[in-house]
Amino acid sequence: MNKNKICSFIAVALIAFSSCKKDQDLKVETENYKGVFVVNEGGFGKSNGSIGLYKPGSRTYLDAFKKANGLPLGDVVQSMSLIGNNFYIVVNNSNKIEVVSQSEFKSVSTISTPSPRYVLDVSYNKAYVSNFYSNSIKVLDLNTNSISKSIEISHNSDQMALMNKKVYVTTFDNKLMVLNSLNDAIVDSIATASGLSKIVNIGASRLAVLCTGVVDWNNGSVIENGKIQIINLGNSIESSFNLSSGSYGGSMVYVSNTALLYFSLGNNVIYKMDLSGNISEFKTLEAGRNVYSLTYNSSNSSIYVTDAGDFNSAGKVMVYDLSGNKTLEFDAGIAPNAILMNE
Amino acid sequence: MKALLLISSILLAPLLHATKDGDTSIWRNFELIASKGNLNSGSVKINLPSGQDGSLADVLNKNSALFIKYYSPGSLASSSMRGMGAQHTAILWNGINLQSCMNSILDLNLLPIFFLDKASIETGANAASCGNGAIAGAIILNNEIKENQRVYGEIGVGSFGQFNLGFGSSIKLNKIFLNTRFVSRKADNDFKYYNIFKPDKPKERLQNNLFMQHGIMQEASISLNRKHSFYFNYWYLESKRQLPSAMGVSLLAQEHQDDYNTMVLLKHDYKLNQKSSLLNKIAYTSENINYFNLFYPDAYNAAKSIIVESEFKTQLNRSFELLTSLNNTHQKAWTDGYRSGIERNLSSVFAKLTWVTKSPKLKISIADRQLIANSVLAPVTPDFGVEFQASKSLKIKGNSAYSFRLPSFNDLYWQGGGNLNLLPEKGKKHELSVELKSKNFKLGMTGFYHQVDNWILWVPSGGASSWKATNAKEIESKGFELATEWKYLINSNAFLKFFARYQFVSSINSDVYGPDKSIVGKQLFYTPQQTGIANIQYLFGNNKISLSSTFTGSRYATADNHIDGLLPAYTLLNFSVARDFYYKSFRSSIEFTVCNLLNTNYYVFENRPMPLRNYQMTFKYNINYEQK
Repeated sequence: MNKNKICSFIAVALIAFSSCKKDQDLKVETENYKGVFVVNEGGFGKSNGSIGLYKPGSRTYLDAFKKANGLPLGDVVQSMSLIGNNFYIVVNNSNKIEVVSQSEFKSVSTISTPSPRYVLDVSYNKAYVSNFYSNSIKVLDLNTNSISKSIEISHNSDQMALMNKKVYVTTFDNKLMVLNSLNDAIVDSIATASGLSKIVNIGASRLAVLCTGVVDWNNGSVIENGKIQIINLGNSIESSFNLSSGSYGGSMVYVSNTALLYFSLGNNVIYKMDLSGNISEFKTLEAGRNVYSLTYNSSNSSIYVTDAGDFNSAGKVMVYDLSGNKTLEFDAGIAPNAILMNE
Repeated sequence: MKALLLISSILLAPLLHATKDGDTSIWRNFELIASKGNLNSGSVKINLPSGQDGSLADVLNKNSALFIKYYSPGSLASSSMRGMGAQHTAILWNGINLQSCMNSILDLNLLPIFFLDKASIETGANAASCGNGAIAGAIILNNEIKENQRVYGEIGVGSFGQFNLGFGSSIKLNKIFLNTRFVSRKADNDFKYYNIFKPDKPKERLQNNLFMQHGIMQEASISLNRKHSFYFNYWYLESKRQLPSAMGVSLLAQEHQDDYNTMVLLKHDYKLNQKSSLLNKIAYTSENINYFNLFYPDAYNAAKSIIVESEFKTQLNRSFELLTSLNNTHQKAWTDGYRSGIERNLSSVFAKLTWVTKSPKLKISIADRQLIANSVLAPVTPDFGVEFQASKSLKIKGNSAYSFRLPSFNDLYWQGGGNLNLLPEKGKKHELSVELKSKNFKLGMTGFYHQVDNWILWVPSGGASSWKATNAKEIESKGFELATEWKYLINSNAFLKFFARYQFVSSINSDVYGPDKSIVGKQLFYTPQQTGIANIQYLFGNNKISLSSTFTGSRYATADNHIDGLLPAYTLLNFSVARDFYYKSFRSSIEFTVCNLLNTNYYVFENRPMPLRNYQMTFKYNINYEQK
C-alpha cells in the first residue's frame, strides 16, 4: 500500500467516524387537547419541565406544549390555571408565564415576570401572580396579558385562594396576607401555625390551610406537629386541628361530595378529615410511593395523586375513587406536581 | 473570518519548506500505550500526549475515551470512567490523592496542563494501590523536574475571548534545581448557540460564563549524595468563574464561584542500598470553594488535608520484590452544611509482593491495603494480578481486586440530608488485558467487570422537600476498552501517526435497596455506552497536520432511561496544523486548531449548549541557556 492510499484510507475512516445525525427539528402537530393535564415541574435548573396530557380514551400520554408549539417549555413548571379560554402556565425558574389557547394549546403570549408561582383569576380581566423571590403580588391584565401593577406585601408569596372578593395569599413566613381584589389593597394578615403550605376553598365562606409543622433539618425529627386551620369570612381562624406528625411539605384538597379534606404530609399516607377535625386514614400507597400532590376531579369523583419519585425519572399519576380503590395509573413527566382537567 | 483565513495561510506557508531535523517536539511522545509503570497489573496504562494546552479536562476530552462531563467550557468538569461516577476515579498528583473530602470529586477544569509534566489514565486501578475512592480507576498526574536551565512558555488565543499565558524558568544553584511556572487563563466563553426554547431557534450568545485563573508553581530538587535526594513542589491556583444556566433557565441568580487551591509536597528519596529504597512524602492540600447567588446567602466551603506517607521497596531475592507503605491522611472541612468543621483521620498500611520468573516470563503480584477511618476498619482490598509475556509482542494481564469508597463529608454530615449510618461503597472487579506490540504498532484490549454495592445516592426522603444520602443501590459495569497506536514511516523525513481509543460500557443498576425497582436494569444516566477518539497526524520535517475525531454515544438524562431524555450521540472533528522553529538553543512551535470543524450542534448535558466551530492558536517556546 503506498502512502497516498494509506492517507486516503485513514482520512475516510476518520470522516466516517465523524459522520453524525443532524438534529431533528421538533414537529408541531395538531391534537385534540382534551383530557388530563399534568403539570411536570422537571428538575431544578435542567429546563425539562413540561405539561403532559393523558387521554383516558386512548390511554396515551403526550408532551402537550412541545407537541403544539414545537418548543420545550422551560425550568420548574410550577402551575397551570384555566382563565377564560386560555391556560396560564407558570414556568417559575424561566421567569415567564406561557399563555396558550384552551382548544389548540398554541402559544398566545409569553409574559416575562420574575419568579412567578401561581396565577389566580380574581376579577374580570384581572389575575394575581404570586412570587417566590419578590415581596410582591403582580397584577396581570388579562386583556393585554401584561403585568400592570405590583402590590407590595412584604413577604414572598405562594398559593392563593379567592373568597368573597378577597385574595388570601400564603407566604413562607406563616402568614396569610389578605388583599382586596377590587382595589388591590392589603386589608389584613393572619398568623397561621408553623409550616404554612397549602390553601383550599371550602365552599364559598371558608378556607382551609395545611400547616406541616417544623422538622429538624439535621436529623429529620419532627419538632412541631402540623395543623389544619379553618378560616372564615371574618379573616379569623375558626378552628385549628392538630395533626399526628409534621413534615417538610404536604398536599391537601377539599371534596365537596363528602365534605372532607384529604391531605398528605408528603409520605405515602393520605388522610381524610371532616370539618370537626375527625381524622382517619383514606389510603396508604404502596411502599416506595410518596404523595407529591392531590387533586379532586368532580366529574368522575376521583382523587388524582402524583408521585415525583426520584425527581429524575418519569413520575406517576394514580387515580383513586372515594372508596380508596385505584382505578388508573399512568406515567407522567419529571416531578408531576398538579393535575388539571380539560374535559 | 478573513483574519482567520489570513492567519491560517501564514501558518500553512511554512509547511512547504520542510526541514530534515527529525528530533523536534512534535515528533516525540509517540508511546501513548505505556509498557510499564502501571499501578496494577491488569490494566492498560495510557499516557496522555504532552505539549497540550488548557486544562486537564480539555486534554482528557481530546485524547481519551473517558466521558468528560461538563456543563460548558470552563465549568465544573468531572470524568466518568468505566461507566461510574466522578467520585470513583482517584486523581493522583505525584502520588497524592486530590479527591475532595467534601464531595469526593475534583474539578478537572481547575488543573492547568501547563503545570503538569506527565499525565496518564489507568482504568481499573484499584484501592489497594490508590486507597479510598479508586473504584473505577485513576488519573495519574506527575511533575518531573527537568534539570537543565531554560526559560519556556506559551501564549494561546482563541475564539470567545480565550487567552492563555504560561511562563516557566528553570535555574540551577549549586546542587539545587529550581523550576518556577506561572499561568494565567481567561475565557469569556460567550459563544453563540441555537436557543431551542425560542421560536425559530435564534442564535444567541451564552451569558454569565466568564472563566479566569491565575496560578504559580514552584519546584525544587536537590541530590545531597547518591543516597539522599529531596523534591519539593508547591501549587497555588486562584480561579474565578461565572456559572451559566441551562437554556430556558432564568439568569437572575447570576451564579458565580471562586476556587482557591493550594498543594504542597515534599519528597525524600532514600536509597538504602542497591536493593532497597525508602520514599517519604509529606503533603498538604487546601481548597476553598466560595459560591455566590443573588437569592441566597454566600456559601463558603473549605477543606484541608495533610498526608504523610512512607514507602519501602526492596528486592528480596532474584524473584521477589516487596513494596510496603504506611499512610496517614488527616482531613478537615468546613461548609454551610457543617459550619463548625468536621475532621477525619485515615491511616492505612499497604503491602504488595511481586514474584517474577524469567522462564516463563511471568509476574504475579498480591497486594492488600487496610485502612482505618477514625478508628473504624474500612473494607479490605485484596488484589491479585498476573502478567504473562507470551512472546516478544504479546503480553496477557489479569487482575481481580476489591475496592471501596468512604462516604464523603457531605454524605455523612450535611445538615438536612447527611447520614451518619452510611456504609462505604464496596467494589470488586475482574479484568483481562492483552497487549500486542511490534516496532510500529501497539494494541491494548481490556475486558472488565465491576460490581459496586452500597452505591451512595441522595434520594427524596420523608416527603419530596427533603433529600438524604442513602446506600441506594448496586451497580454492575461491564465492557471493554481498546487502545491502539500505529506509526508508518513514509521516508526519513515524514511519517504518519495514528492513535485511537474506544470504550464500550454497560453500566446498569443491578439492584435497588428500596421497594421501587423501576430503574433496575437501566443504564446509569449520563453514561454513554460508547465513547471513542481517533487521531491521525502527518508529520514531515518540522511540520504536523493533525485530524482528530471524538465520538460520544447517546446517553439518557433520566434514571429511568426515558426516551424523552435520550441525548443524541455526537462526533466532533478537530483539525490542526503546527510547525516547529529552531534557532540555536531557541525552540518554538506554533499551532493553529479548528475545533468542531463540522460545526456540530451538540450537548453534553441536556439543554446545555456547547460551542460551535471555533479556533485556537498557540505559540510555545523553550530557550536552553545552559545545556545539561
